[in-house]
Amino acid sequence: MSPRSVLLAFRVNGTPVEVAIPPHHTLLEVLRYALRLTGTKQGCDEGDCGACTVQLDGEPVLACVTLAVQAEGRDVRTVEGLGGAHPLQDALDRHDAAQCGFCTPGVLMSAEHLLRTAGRKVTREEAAAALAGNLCRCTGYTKILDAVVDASREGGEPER
Amino acid sequence: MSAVGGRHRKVGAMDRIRGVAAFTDDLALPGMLHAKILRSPHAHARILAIDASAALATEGVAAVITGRDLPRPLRHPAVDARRERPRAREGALRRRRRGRARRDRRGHGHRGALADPRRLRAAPRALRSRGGARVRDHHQPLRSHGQPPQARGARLRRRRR
Repeated sequence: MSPRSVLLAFRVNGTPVEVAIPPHHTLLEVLRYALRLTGTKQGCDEGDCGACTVQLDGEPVLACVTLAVQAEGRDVRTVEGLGGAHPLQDALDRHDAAQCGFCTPGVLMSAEHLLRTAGRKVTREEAAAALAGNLCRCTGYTKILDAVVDASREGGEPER
Repeated sequence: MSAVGGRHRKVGAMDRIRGVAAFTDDLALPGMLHAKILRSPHAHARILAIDASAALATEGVAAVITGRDLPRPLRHPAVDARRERPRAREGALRRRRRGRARRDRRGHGHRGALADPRRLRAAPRALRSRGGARVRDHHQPLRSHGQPPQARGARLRRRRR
């Protein structure tokens, strides 16, 4: 460990990790380049686009403007932590809501927080407000909102 | 023909939705270097000199590449094919600034100036950058992207007369 590094211990998707990092590194840099969790995307790198959204203790945060040392002892959840069978992921797939897919991991982490905290069917307005910080440059917002509202229904639509 | 009219899942979409699809930025190859492009902070200024000493002295920097490092002859769409010179490189704009702008038949004076720095017509103006450094500026107002339709409209008006 370099003398200028600090030892950081936190949990990622339920797994305890320890990593030696320079203290100025962001949570995004640690996730992508130290832990190789590249599902979280590096878009604008200045807190504008929301592609780097992850959950810190269940709350959505922008990993590119969050220092990694702020995650010490806390729970970080990334898109990899959703598994692949989450109702939101299925809904995004059914609604064709992932075009290039670059914004999708951030959208999922914001939308998952909305659905988990709402605990009921959400409206399009609520979904749009929750995803206001997630930019989609394919401009596919209609299908993304359709998918989030659909996923919030109990059980969702049947598998096709 | 059962596929016609039905809803179908996009091939590969679930990889992107799960975060396992590899975008270019997600690749990590042995010996891979990262490049940073340094662009001019001014819209149309002369490059008087490029001092890369501080960048080269930075830990981990493998190389600093400027126009001087480009091979000759150079074949690339960004290169003046007749002279095999990059359109913008150190000193290039300084030698070309003497010519006055010539408007082509379509009146695309500014577009021509953008495509070929030799057609610059403005006398250099002395400005100061935000950092206080004195810079020479050749800036000309850019025409809007709607110029071709406007030009067509102008020709139509002339025909009506």
